[in-house]
Amino acid sequence: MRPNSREEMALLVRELEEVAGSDEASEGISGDLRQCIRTFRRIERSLEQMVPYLRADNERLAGLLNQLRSGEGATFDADDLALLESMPPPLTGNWQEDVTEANTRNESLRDLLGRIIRAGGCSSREARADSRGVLMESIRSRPW
Amino acid sequence: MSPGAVPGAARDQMGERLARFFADRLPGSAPVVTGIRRLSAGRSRQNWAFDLTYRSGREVVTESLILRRDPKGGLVETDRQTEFAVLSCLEATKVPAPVARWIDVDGTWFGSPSLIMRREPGDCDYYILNGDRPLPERVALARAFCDLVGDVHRVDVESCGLVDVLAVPVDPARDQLDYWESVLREDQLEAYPEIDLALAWLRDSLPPPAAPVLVHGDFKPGNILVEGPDVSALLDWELAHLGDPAEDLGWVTQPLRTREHLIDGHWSQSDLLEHYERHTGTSVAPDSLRWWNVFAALRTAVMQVSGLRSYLEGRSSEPYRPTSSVLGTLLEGAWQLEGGTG
Repeated sequence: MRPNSREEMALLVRELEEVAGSDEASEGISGDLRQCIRTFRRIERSLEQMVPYLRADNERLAGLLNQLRSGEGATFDADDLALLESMPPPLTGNWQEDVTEANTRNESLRDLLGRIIRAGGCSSREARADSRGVLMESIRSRPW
Repeated sequence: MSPGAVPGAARDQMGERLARFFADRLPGSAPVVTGIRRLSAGRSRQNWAFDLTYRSGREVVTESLILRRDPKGGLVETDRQTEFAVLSCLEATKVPAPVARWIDVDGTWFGSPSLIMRREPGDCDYYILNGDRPLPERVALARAFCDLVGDVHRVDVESCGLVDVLAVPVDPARDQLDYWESVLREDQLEAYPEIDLALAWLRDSLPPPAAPVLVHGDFKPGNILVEGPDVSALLDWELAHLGDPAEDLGWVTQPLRTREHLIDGHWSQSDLLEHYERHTGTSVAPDSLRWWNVFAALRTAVMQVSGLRSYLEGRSSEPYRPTSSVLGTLLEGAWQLEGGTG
């Protein structure tokens, strides 16, 4: 469907830039609009990298959680196991659907990791070192 | 909207609110408010400067005042009544805190809780230690800031009444960790395993309980008024509490704030700590300081989580979020607490 998300974003940025640059915009309004433009541009820049990032992060998180599962102290219920055992679906080519799917899985995996940590299932030095490694990689490779 | 660029309507509205407030608080003294303007300093509050003239007996008095009003949403939610009481206690000490004059506890008069304080001279500059002033002046200011935080910690909290206003912690580090974790749980809208992991590490390596002192809670040049070469006031006491003095030092020396507190090649972390130890006659345990450094990053991350919630709920216009830099610093610091490297 046209305009697609990227094109709509570009149109919005163009309109905002026109208003922000006009003589009629006060200094305060102009500052607010420029903040909006910066936010849009950051989203725009990360769009292309969003799906690959989320899918790679999901793989790392699932790998870590499977490791914790075999260690001591971590309890996984049936839903948690189903999440870990499910495979990510193939990409559809529809950007919005692919991002939504990868992001939902990412949120679920991060939520599970947080719960395992809070429940004491990540208390050995080794488990913490592995978790720290995976989370640092997530932070370092973020496209935004 | 950038602070200072305040539309006339907002200024007029504030003028009306102030007029009604002082008519109530100073009946029969003909209060007149002039020179209202919004100031830029203070990210968590709205600051309005103005002058108040009124009759006191046969005299006509003019006071330069500042109103600090809570925003609808921000990085921290604190109690204005306690802050007012803390400022009142500090009047009896040598700490240059603003004189608290009036309070609108529940926002009846100003729309949200507000404090009115005497306006002190000088300017705040987050990066004054690395700004345009000549190097000797900047180093002298760095020493003065260090003395100031030491003076805060040396306040006799019993004789000035602070022990009646602030809770006395049995285990300051554990109490602070509990408090900020409760803020996180209340405000988080999604999982932050990075913060959960850091919390687990921090809980496993709590420093020994310290004898509680007055802790400012947000000590930084951005909260210090400087007039010429001198400190004129230490502002923003909303996070003040009784706790471990290493908490303020951990906040000041955390890796995320070096540009605010240190001067490359001329005022290092060891200079700061040595000066502090000389000034206060106390020593700072390195392990404890490292723990409070990590705690400082944790607190920053939690404040960003709260800020994000305020933004998403439309209570703040600043798009805060837990940044990669803060989460990365937090995880690395926590990892090093356990002796990890690389």
